[in-house]
Amino acid sequence: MGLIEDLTGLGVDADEAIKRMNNNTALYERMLVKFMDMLKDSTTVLDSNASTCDDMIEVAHAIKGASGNLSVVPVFEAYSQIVSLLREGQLQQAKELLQKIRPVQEEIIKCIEKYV
Amino acid sequence: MQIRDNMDGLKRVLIVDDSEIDRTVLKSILECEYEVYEASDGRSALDIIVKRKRPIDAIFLDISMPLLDGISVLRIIRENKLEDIPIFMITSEATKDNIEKAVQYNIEDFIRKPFNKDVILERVRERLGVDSMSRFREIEIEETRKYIADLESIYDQYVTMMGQNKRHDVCRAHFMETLIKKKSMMDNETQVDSFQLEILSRAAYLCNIGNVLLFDTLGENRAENSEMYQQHTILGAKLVRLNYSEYCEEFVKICSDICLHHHERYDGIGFPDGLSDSSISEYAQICGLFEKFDKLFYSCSKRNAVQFDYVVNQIENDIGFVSDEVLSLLRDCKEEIVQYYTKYKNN
Repeated sequence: MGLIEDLTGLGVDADEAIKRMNNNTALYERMLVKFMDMLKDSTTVLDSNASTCDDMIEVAHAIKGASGNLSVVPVFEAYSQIVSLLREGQLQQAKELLQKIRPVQEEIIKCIEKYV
Repeated sequence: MQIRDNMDGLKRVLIVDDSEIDRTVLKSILECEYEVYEASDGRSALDIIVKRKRPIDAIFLDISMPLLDGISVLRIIRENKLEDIPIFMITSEATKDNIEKAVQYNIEDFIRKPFNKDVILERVRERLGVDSMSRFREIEIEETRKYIADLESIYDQYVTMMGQNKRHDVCRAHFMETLIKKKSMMDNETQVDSFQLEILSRAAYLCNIGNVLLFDTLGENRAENSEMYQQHTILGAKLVRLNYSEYCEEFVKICSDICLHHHERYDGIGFPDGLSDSSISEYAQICGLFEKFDKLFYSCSKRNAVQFDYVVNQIENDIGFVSDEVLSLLRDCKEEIVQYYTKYKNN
């Protein structure tokens, strides 16, 4: 098993993303590392009570875009909903969803860290 | 440095997006057919567009950006009477508000995230056309990437089986990319396009691939002066040269040269051929320099600018190891290299 196979097992459509990136697997892996850093950094804003809704939207929106392009499907789906909830001002529901997706995020981060 | 000037005549597109990941993905889609420029914020984009040092044929503009958002950039572009540039707005949410705002500035189309490669290329081709020269280039890129992926898969399996990690190889690829980018920035005559940079970086990553063929025999013969160990250079070059496709020619030439000569020394006492001076390519020298640099710098408890200077001075004291030009290039990359290594401080 390698990184791509393991990620596929976690619901990531790596084949689709690699195809999107002109079959450039090495570039995809490099972007996954950046994505992992992005997820780690995001907690500073998303978990802080001092963050405004706009701050949270900015961070969640960025994760949504990147996860979509890298076909990290579970994260993309969750953050699509989180962004919508935040835009509708439903902060509590957004935070609940954030807590639900966290273990999945952690699994994906662990998987990337294992191979790079 | 042998650089092909095959980017001339290609249409130029500019991607403006604060997300490096999204920018990179879109660039990988467009670069087969167009010369791609990037800007990470609205102000840098305006600098490129309005100054028009090199005319831009199309712009991909993200709506949501901090400081100066896409709609503001769009307004300024149009106010500067640059109506002729087709603009594709990038968005993951085409809200009614965004659509209404963007449409009044005569945009070409909306490009949704996640990007759909075929749709994007089709829309841009419709507007800009496609350069006939770039069709060959697309095949070349595709075939070369397939070959690199095959080699990397073999090499990565070897690394895993040996219980090693990829840090050293990944660092080497980054080291090569950093030094060549810097050279390209400093020297107008040495312009390297993104695919050439990719080839160099992947070739550097694979420079020890010859070890794969020594899997059962290396054992205790890992010492650098052992004849068996030295064979990895020759075997690596032979392995890489097994691909005879004309589309992979550039990569095969560079990668086999790096495999074969990354243990040569500028004073001629390296191996396997005892080459000296300028008969050792700059790329092979960079890989050789990396091996020595990484060994010294990675072991430092603090990987900072002071230690960097100390390590480079140590290498300089090994007179005849590498050319002054290559060592000076490393010094010029101090900031980038130190920054890169600090991320490994806890490993």
